[in-house]
Amino acid sequence: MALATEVKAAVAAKLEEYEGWANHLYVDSTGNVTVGVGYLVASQAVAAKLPLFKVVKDAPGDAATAKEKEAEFATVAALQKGYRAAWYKTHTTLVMKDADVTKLRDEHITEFYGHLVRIYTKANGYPADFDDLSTKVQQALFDLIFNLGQTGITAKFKNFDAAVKAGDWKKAATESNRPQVAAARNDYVKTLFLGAADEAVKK
Amino acid sequence: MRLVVLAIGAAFSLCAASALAAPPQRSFNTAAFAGLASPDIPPDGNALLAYDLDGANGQVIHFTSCRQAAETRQEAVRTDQFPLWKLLTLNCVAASKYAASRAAQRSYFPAGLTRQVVAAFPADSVPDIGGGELQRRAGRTLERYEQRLRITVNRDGTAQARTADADLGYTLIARADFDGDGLEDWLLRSEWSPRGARGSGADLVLLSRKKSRGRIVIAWRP
Repeated sequence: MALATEVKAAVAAKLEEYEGWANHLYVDSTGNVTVGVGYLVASQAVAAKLPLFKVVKDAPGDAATAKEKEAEFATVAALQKGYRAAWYKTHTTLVMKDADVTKLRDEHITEFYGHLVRIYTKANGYPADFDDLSTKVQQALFDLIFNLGQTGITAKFKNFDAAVKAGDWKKAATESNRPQVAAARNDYVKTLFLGAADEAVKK
Repeated sequence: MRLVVLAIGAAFSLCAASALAAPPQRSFNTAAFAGLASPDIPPDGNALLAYDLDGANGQVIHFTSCRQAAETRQEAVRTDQFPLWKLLTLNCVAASKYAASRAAQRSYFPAGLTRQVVAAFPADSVPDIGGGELQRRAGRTLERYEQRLRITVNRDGTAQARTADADLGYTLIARADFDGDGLEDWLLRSEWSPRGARGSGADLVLLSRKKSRGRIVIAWRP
């Protein structure tokens, strides 16, 4: 089964809201070189494979060579962390096209969808396979796995995982709280779970 | 690491990482404070800033002081820049805490972060990521808690601890006597990022060590 279109659209919009959007390399708050919608550029080798272009009149011009991309990575990686993406832009010379940023974002979503489909199955003790869960629950789980990773969402958030296994969406809403994300982002996830709880009551 | 040493009673070397620090000393790591505009931390802790974040209303918020940062609610900042807003507020809390500290007369900490000292940190000296994880880590050292742990100390004096599923970071923000017992305490900024995901977290922890090779404990956290 493929990810439902409405879920994908909602997840993509929230990902942009919470991760930001940048067509140039920058350093994120933890010191990692990043591009697009929170896409981690782990090394010069990863940078060399990105579709980056030289800036000509504020627009993407000729494609950059692998060496130019590696040099751009080295320049950005050496900058101090802790600034907003726009601060790093003044130190860059290469950009991605908007369509390529969107493509990278969608690949990212597909990758995490794969993780979710593998974790959330009836065979693993959850109330339904991921695709058969409420779309609200699907969106909430996407936000949590983007943020916490596969281990975090199951092994670190044990009470949350137990609530999901029990299909107790009210408890899942409470247990989903993450002190390291913005209050608005926590509220978004809680609201989704509470909405799923309401849906379950009406059924 | 660029340290502003405000009170030095005896000569000491930052190069001798494994040796005990030579107090009395009191220092703040200004290089780790992005956007700090003043050369050191003023006595009232209200550090001057030259730092921008994007506002939720589409306007740039220009921060000129820690007092302004403390008065800025997180909702005023664009959601994707919440981690930066948090980093700024933590750095300002550290400045305020440092302003109220005094020079230590004695230290049982080394001259800087080392692999050995990071391994002996309390396991809960990490940011609170939720899920009860912080409580599960209490009472053990990082080395005892983590099933896999690889610690590296970087050229800039920061340390990275790679665990089975996350990367932890430690930055020594300030060293001084923070609790008035005459012994040096370490004010650290701890960071967390899970591998294979995009989360991040940061927190402050004040570590104390009351005797040579004694247990390192968390004396304070925000």
